[in-house]
This record gives sequence, C-alpha cells and structure tokens, in this order.
Amino acid sequence: MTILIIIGMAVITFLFRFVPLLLTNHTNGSSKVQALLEYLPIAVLSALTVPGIIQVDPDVNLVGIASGTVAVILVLIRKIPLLFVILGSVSAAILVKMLTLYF
Amino acid sequence: MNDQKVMFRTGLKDSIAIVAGFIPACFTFGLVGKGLGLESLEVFLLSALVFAGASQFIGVKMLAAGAAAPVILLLTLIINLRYLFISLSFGGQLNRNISVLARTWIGFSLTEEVYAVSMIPREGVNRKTENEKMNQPLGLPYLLGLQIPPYVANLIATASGITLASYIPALYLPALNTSLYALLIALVVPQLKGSLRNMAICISAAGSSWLLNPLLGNSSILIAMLIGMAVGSLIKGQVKAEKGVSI
Repeated sequence: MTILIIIGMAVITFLFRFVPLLLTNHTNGSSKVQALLEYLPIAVLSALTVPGIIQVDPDVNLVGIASGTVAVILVLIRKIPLLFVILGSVSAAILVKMLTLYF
Repeated sequence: MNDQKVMFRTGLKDSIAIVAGFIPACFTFGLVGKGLGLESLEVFLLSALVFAGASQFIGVKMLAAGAAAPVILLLTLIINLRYLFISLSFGGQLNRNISVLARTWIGFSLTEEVYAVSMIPREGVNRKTENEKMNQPLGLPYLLGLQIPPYVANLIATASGITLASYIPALYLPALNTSLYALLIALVVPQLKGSLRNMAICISAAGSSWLLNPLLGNSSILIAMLIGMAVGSLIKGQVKAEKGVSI
C-alpha cells in the first residue's frame, strides 16, 4: 500500500514538472505572462527558503537562523565558491546545535 | 559536436554545488525515513521516484504517521503545485529542438535547485544575447550535465543514509538539512544587490510565506510566490543582473 502511495506521489510530481515543458519553448516574446515568469525564480525560492530554514530544526529555531545568516554573510563576501558557502552554513548549523546541547 | 561536449562539461561544473547541497540532505532523508520506521525500500523509492528535495521530507513524515492515501496525495498535489509554475518558467528557456523523450527526463529531474542554478545569472555565466532582450536557450547537453549528477548523488546518499541509520545521532540530522537552503540562499542573495525590484520580490515573498505558514502550512509557499510576483510587477525598473558567486 505504501509503495502505491509513493508511486502516486511520484506521478503527481512528475506531471507537474513535465507537462508544462511540452507547452512552452524558448521564445523572445515580451508578453505580460513572460514578464511575470521572470519574477518567479526569486519569488518561489525566497518563499521556500525563509520558513523552511527557520523550521529546519523544530526544537531549536536558532540552528536554521544561524545557518542562514552564515550563508548570507559568506555570499556577500565576493569570490567564495558555492561549495564553501554550503559547507560553512552546514558547519554553523551543527555548531549551534552542539552548543545548545551542551550549554 | 565539440561545442556540445563543452556545454556538457559546463553543466557538470554547475552541478557541483547542487551535489554538495544534496549529499547531506539526501543522507539525512535516508536516516530520517528509517528513523520514522519506514521500510528501507519505501524510503529509497521516495528518493528515486519522487525526487522532490524539500517536499520529500513532508511525504515521509505523513507516510510514517499512517495518514490516509487520499490525504497524502492531496497534500502532495498542493505542495508540489509550485512545480507547475517552475516548469512553465523553465520551459520558456528550453531550446526548441529538445525531444519529448529528453523533456521527460528533464521534467522528472527538475528540482528547485536545478531550476535555481540554470535560471539565475551568475559570475562567468552570461546567457544574454547581443540585443540583451533574451537569454540563450538552455540546450540538452548542458542540462544533462547539470541534472544527472544530482540525481545519482541523491540515490547514493539516500542509500548510505538508510544503511547508516543506526549509527548517527538523530539530534544532528536537522542541522545537515540546512544544506539545501544554503544553496538556495547562495543563488538568490547576489540577485538582490543593486536591484530594488528583486529585493522587493524577495522580501514580500519570504515575509508573506513566513507569516502565512502558521495558518496555511506548506501551501503558504504557493500564495507567497504569487504575492512576490505581483509585487515585482508593480515595481518599475530594469532587472539588473548582478554578478553572483562563482561555483
């Protein structure tokens, strides 16, 4: 039964991602819809990240907040590769978690 | 031909950051799934078939809680509805000559992270054409290079998580999960410098998502996304593509 539910979840997710790819193509039009779609990356990624990272550890919100803050600071320092931003951010999260456990 | 190889390599190089974000998160997913009492095969299939980053965690929790099938599927529908918009926006960047078969794979493996890396301009990545009006289309070789390594990393890391589930202290798992969000932050933040409009989109989307979350749960993402886009359309001005971090 669980496997069937998983397959159902997979089908739903797949259709959402696949069907629009059949309807759209690279065009140079400048319709209003396209202008709106231009704002989509930042809108959806911001909406996903902010509550997500704060709630990442339901017991200690500070873990996510510290991790996010470190990521923002590292990004603002130029020339740091993405890989190190991720490593730094995860290290900060683990460190904060350790501190809350032992103090 | 040579050009295709170069594009494939560029894709591979761009995928490094996604892989770095996926390894700790997928590893954690394997651990969490086992920790919640699901069968190893079920946890692995969630990763292998659904492959939806953050929303997999919601699925695994509902399955473990024994929620009814219609409830789980309905919630999957609501949570993943945002992919419809993401895919619509992504599809507008695809090269026309990409076949339906290739689009099946591209659609299947289109996570937010892949979307973010291919859509957001970064240092050394210039997809603007001469007239600055439109971007170069995304070609298949680049997308294969970009999408295959994260999927393979997802499979391997989830399997490792499942296998090592009994050896890792569960307390540290949430901290490992921050890797996905760190990647998204690293891609979005450079876009905010010097662009009032992008800043407004980010703040309104993030703020409304945060405020609506206690009321609407995970579907707040969708509404917040629409609010962010509406705010963006209200603000006039050139969207200035700032140089971002290098991968």
